[in-house]
This record gives sequence, structure tokens and C-alpha cells, in this order.
Amino acid sequence: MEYIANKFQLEQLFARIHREYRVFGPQKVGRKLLLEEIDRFSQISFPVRKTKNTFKNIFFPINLNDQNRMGKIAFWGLPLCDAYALEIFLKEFSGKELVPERRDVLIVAAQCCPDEYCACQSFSIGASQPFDLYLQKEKDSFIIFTAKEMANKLLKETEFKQVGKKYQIEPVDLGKKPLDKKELSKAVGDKVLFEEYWQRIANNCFGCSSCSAVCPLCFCFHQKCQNQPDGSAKVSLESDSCFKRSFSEIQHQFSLREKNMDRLYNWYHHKFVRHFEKNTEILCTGCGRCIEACPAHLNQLNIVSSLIKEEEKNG
Amino acid sequence: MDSFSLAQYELFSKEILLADTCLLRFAGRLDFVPGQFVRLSLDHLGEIAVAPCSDPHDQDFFELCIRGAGSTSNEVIKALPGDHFGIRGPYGNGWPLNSLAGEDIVLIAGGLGLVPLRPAIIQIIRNRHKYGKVTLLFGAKTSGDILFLNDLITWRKKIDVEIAAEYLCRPSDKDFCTKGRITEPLDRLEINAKKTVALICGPEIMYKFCIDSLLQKGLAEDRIYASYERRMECGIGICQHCNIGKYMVCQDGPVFAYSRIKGELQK
Repeated sequence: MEYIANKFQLEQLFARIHREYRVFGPQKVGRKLLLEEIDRFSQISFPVRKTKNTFKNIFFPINLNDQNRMGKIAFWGLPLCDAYALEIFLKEFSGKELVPERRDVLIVAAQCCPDEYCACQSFSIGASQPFDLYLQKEKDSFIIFTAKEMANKLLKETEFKQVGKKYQIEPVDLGKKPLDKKELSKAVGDKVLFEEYWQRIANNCFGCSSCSAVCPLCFCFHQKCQNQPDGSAKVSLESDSCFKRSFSEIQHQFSLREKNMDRLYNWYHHKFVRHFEKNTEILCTGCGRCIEACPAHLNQLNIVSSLIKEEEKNG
Repeated sequence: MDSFSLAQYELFSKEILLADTCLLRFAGRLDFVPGQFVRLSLDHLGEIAVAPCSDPHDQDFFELCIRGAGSTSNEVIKALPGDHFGIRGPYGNGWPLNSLAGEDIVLIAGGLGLVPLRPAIIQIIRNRHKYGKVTLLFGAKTSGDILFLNDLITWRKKIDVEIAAEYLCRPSDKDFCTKGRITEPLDRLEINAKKTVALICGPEIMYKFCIDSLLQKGLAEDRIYASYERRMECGIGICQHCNIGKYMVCQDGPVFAYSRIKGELQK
């Protein structure tokens, strides 16, 4: 359903959400745009831009001693790519009681302003409506699209005017062709056939783990124990990166992925093969943060799309 | 209760098996299948993955065999009776003992690999009439490193047990073990490939040679089961440390049929 609201009404909606949830949204800190906790509507700018950090940095580290970690949380003004990533993330952690369940998370996505690294069109993410509310600017007012019953209830409570079904979510047009997830998964899954290709990429990769640090869907973690002055121990789950040698280490510091090529391939394998086979979702929404962050100027999107072409050539 | 919640158990006895290896006996019941593993936690240091090695039918206690190899395990073996430990699990799939009725079984264990196989052997011996010929091949670095030696000698009465050690510490050790690698008694072993199943556990370097030897004897790939060691961190299949290709060892394993895991080992 769609509703129409002016800026004042939107402020009311924000206040209503803020009463029930801890709200996080894009906020300028110095020269950077970061996803931070917000308590005033005036802190939000429109259309939204991609933040440097992501929801991953809000959830991690997960403090296992903290009883409030499952509290209600809302994300206001996420671009569609991040909203979709958040849905996948919450689905993966669902039932583990480590982060809030999806029903306790309110996702307010908003019309975004794509940059040169954006590639959400390649992964056709808009179709599944990965949000509770979606905000789109229409002249001086806002159209609010709702996807879930919970969101309808929230809007009815705040007495918003419903509009006819003449509005549609404006698709982001980056002039890119959507990739076929199945083909992508098949091409990346064939390591032996493309060993030389992966070696070439690995020769250029510094193995610095910048890509996995910025990726919202790199949710690998390790357990960290810290002694406290009172004699107790704080146990938390911290983000980890598969580019680290220690990631696959077993006894006596023996690493199962000694070469950078193996570690690099494992990153792609998790995103495009392992997760796809288990959940029919790939762990990439085309936010482009990895492309922007790579100091070796590797373009992860080009790496996988040219792999599909190679696969087609080989039949 | 989150997935990292620990159940508290009291250590009530400790037996030193080797210079760096202890058998810890905990009071309480642990419901596990042979081959599964648990996470033993020292909250100020970390967690380790260990396979319970006692009889799964024991109601009052269970045993964990721990070798001091890292910071956590070295601390764990210093524990004394009366100390409390947090344990979560068990996790993963164990040995497919229920589907082995009527089959001949070859158990191949290298070093600490005997630990996850011990409950399986105890179960096999208890239901000895259900299985055909059962052979246990155990390999150790030296004849002084043989784990559960008393058990091995007792088991000899019910199943065939061959012990191989690369070095013999004393000439008298010849009485119970032969000098050489584990592949030597395996190569000599005669099996009926159509009704034999092999269960392997040990250092991964051993698997290649043992599996090659078994395949040469005509054993089908889906009749070879191996337990794989990986860096298990969460046990619930999300932290991604323990993957072998598309499988997570903590959820899909640690015991895999060789036919299932073969294609994934390179990834």
C-alpha cells in the first residue's frame, strides 16, 4: 500500500518509531557519512547516500554478556541494497538469539542516490521488496510504500492518507545487465577449471581484507574472551575476515589456506556458491563498497561477470 | 538461551594418559552420538572443540580426552577435580553406526584420532553380534604415545586390533605393536570390498594414503567415512571458519562419506 505524507507528517512518523525502537540512520560525522544512532528527524537528509559503515558495524561485536542485545531496532533511510543485505543477514542469524529477530527490526528504506561503484541493478534486488517502509520523494511530499502488515499498522496509527495505486517504486537505472545467479554460482564454483584465472586475480590482490571489512554481508566472526577487572570474563563475537591466515588455522598454527589464492577464492565461494546452494541467495547486493575500498583497484563485479563469460566460452 | 549458552559440568576425576594428554571425567549425562563433538569453554581464555570419548550409554558421567596443544587446551589439562567447566553441544553428525549392521568394519585411527572412534568401538563391542569382522588399526608416532593402551588390549578379545608405531621406545614394545606406519598393516589387510565399511580418524595427511589403499582394495567411495578436523568456532554453521567447499564441518560433518566430500576438498 502507498501513503502520502509531507515533511511534518514524516517527522511525526519518525517520532512514533523512535518511541519504540533505537533508530539508526545515515549521519554526517566530519566528512564521512556514517550509519549512527539518531534521535532527531533533522539529522536525516534526502535522498539517501550509501554510508561508509553498515549495519554489520552496529550488530558486531556481539557482546554475549549483554542482555539488551535483542532489543528492538530500526534502520531509517537505508538504500535498497543495504536493506536487502540486512534481510539476508537477519535470516542467517535468525533463531540463534545473537541479534534481534526480523520482527523486532524495522527497515525504512529510501530512494537513494547511486554513485559510480553501485551495481545493485546487476543483482536485481528491488523485486523482493526488502523493507517495511520505503520513502520516495514526490515534489514537496513523500510517498511511503509499505511491504509488511506491521508497517501498515504503524501508518494507520499515525493517521496517514492512503493514495491510489498509481505510484511505483522508481527503479535505479545504472545501465547494467542483471546477472543470472545460477550461472554466476556455477561459474564461481568451478575452481579447478579456472585455477589460472583465480591465480591471476590473486597475484594482484594484496590480501588486505578491506573488501570483507566493508562488505555488509561478510558476517564471519570469531569468539573473543577478555578478562575483566572484577575477575569475570567478557565473551564477544567479533567480525573476522577469511583473508587472514589465522582464519583457517588448526592445531600447531597449520593453516588450511596457506596461499592468498585459496583465501581469495574462499571469499567468492562463500558469497556466490556456498550460500546460494543452501539458501538460494547470493551474499552480494551490489553496494559496491568492496570496489571502492580495494587498494589494488580490483573490481569484484567485473571479476565475477567475466567469469560467466569465460564459462559460456567453455560451454 | 542463545546458541552460545553453556551447560555447567563438574570435573570429578582426571587421568593422565600421556605427558601432555589427559582424560577428564565429568559428572552428568551428555546425550551424544559417537563422532560428534562438543565445545569446552574456559570463559577467560576461549573454547576448544573436543569429541566425547566415553560410552554414550553412561548415565552418570562422560569423558573428554584433551591434549595440551594451544593456550586453552594447555590450561584445561591443568584443571583439578572439583573445577567447573562450561560445555555446549554436541554438534554435527557422528559415525553412521546404525547403517552398519551386518557389515565388516575397518576402523583406522591415527594418534588422537582414536578419541572420536572410542565411543564407536565401545558401541560396536556391546552389539558385537550385529557386525561382521571388525578390525581396528591404530597408528602412533612412538610406542610411548599409544592412547588407551589398556582399552586396546581389552578390545583385542572381541575385535582384531593392530597397533603400529613409527618408533619403538623399548624392545619389549614389540609384544603389542609393530614398527612402521599405519599404512603397512592396512596394505596387508584382506577385506571383502562388497561388505566392508571403513571409518577413519586421525591427522589429515594420513587420510590420503589410507583412502588410496582402501580404494585399491576395491572399496567403494561411499563406504569410506572420515572425520575432518577444521577450525570450529561457533558450532552452529554461521561463522564460516570450518567449511570444506560447500559443507560446514560443524553442521554437515565432522564425519563425511568420502564420495560426498571428495570434490570439495580442493576448494
